[in-house]
Amino acid sequence: MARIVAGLACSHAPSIAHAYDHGMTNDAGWQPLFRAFEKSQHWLEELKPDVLVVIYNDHVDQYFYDAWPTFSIGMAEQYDIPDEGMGARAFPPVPGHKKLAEHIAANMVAEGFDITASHRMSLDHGFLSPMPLLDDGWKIPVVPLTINVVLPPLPSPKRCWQMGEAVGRAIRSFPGDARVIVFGTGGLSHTLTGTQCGRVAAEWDRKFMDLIESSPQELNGYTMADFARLGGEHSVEVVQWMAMRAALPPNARVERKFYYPFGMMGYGIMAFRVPD
Amino acid sequence: MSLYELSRACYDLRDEAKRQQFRTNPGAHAACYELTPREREMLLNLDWRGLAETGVSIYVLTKLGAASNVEFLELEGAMRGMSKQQFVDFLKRQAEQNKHFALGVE
Repeated sequence: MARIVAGLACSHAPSIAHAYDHGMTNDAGWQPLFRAFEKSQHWLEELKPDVLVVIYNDHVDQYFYDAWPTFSIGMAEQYDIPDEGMGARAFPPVPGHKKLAEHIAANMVAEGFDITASHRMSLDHGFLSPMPLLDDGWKIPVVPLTINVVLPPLPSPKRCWQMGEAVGRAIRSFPGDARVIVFGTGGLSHTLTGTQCGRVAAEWDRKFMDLIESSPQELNGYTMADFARLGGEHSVEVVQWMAMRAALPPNARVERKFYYPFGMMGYGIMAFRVPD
Repeated sequence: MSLYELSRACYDLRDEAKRQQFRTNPGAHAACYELTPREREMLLNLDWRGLAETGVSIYVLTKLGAASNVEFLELEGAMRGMSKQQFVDFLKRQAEQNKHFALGVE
């Protein structure tokens, strides 16, 4: 059966994509973040993954208000690069791992998790801002999954945890010996509208990282409103970190931790290794 | 009247042809949607704060911003009633205050 060998949580943001596309990765402000991604990429490469399962959220690019799935999974051979308003970024389509996607979807539905299937899907900056920094050149096929954190009603953090558990069980029952890494992208603290616009809640971000590492299920007691109050309205994306963490087996251990409050965001990266 | 229509008017600007139309004739773009006079005014005046307070998602406002050649930091500063420079200065001060929370920075 397939094995989950590692999990990685990280921030996503248009600012990361902008700095990357405009050659700013060595600028004093940005260098610490891009250096941390570079090191993370080396760490991931050494684990020799066969598939990357990426849990993230869309930002009104793939989905619109006509219908917005609470949870969705990409089932395509490859994924499009969207135009988010400034033209599509210069990347080739992202290769998909259709067989694992079909297996995960079928298993989730079989155990009562009715996930929406997207047979054509574009991957917006929720995927596309961090992933070129973690798999430069699209060497490894992906399975994208999304959690709605944009259009109410939003799922509860506890439900996102359960979704991650279901994803983990489905991966581990996939025939063959694929080595899988699970990603969760989003957060940490940021507020993009209102009188608190631009606020970075660094103290809460560090507490959240401690909880994700040591007692992640404590986060099931929080509501989306709690996360919005503590880290800002748009920080509710941290449920992607919870879903990733829930997909990992209990013996997973943190190997890399990075936190950098800069500009409008608390940027974070956490990498978990699953012992052989 | 319709948050859906207002959101749609911004969301559709993901399309290059619609962006071109919006840039050359914003009124014609607005006319494609069922907007109240107030909504139309906010859209055409790029009233970021008003649009956000009406409930338009920041994730479609960024598309309106890109089509209007308004920088993100200018748009965000407007949410606090600040100029872009005031907002950038605020962010710098905040980063300085938060520095000691950084972890694993090389």
